[in-house]
Amino acid sequence: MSDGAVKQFLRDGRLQALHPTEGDRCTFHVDPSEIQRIAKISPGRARELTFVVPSVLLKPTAVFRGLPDRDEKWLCYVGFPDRAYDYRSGQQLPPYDGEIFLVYINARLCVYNWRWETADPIDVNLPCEHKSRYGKRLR
Amino acid sequence: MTEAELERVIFGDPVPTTDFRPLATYNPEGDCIEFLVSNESFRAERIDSLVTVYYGRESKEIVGSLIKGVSGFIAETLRRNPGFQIDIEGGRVKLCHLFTAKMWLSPDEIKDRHTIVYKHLRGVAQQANAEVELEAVCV
Repeated sequence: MSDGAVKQFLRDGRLQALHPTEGDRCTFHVDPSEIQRIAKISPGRARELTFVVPSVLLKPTAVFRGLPDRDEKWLCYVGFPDRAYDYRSGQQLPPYDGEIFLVYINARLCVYNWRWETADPIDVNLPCEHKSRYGKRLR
Repeated sequence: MTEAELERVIFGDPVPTTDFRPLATYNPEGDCIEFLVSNESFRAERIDSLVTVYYGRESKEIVGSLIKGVSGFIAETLRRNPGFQIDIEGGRVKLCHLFTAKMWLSPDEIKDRHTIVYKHLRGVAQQANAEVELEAVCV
């Protein structure tokens, strides 16, 4: 994202994503007050939200729909970002070996959680226990 | 935080943050509680339908957790154990009580190795005296 696009995201919380089933793009969002809250406690997580989350949403290695313990419409985008951030300092780091990045979206298309997790040792493009954790793989 | 301050967090030089106090925040979009005892970078591990644990990358200790499906869990806990109401004071709930409730309500779902994690999480939450505002969920 350009600096201008980042600044726009910080103001409106809107994020472009690859559509979960079609070839074009769609828009998700983050509550701007949540961006502010995170920035106050962790510069690294704020940078992760600003730079890592969008890259996974635009180039996911997998997209799942349905969290059996939550809601069948909720989505999880999975990806290999090109960077990570130290949460305390905000310093950019290489991505973590053997891990993948997950972004969770609710039925209102709001991004509500994102995190690094250990990848499935059999298929490193996917999170551990993906077969029991999600309803359906869309991509 | 002003727009300029937020942009400094995102674009500025990495600066270690030192002042951090444990905090628990309810996120209505995800119907989840994020509990952080440290601002150390972490890897997440989903242990069951209720809890994802955060492990510190340096300390290797539990540095937080994500408690999911909070409204459903509170409702189910109150349905099966109305006495749980006494642990909700003015819409606030101590996190250690939520971990205890899960251990009491779903002992079969908690695998042996996860019992230790739950006990550890409860201890960490107790030590931090962590509580969360859940008035919107508990009414």
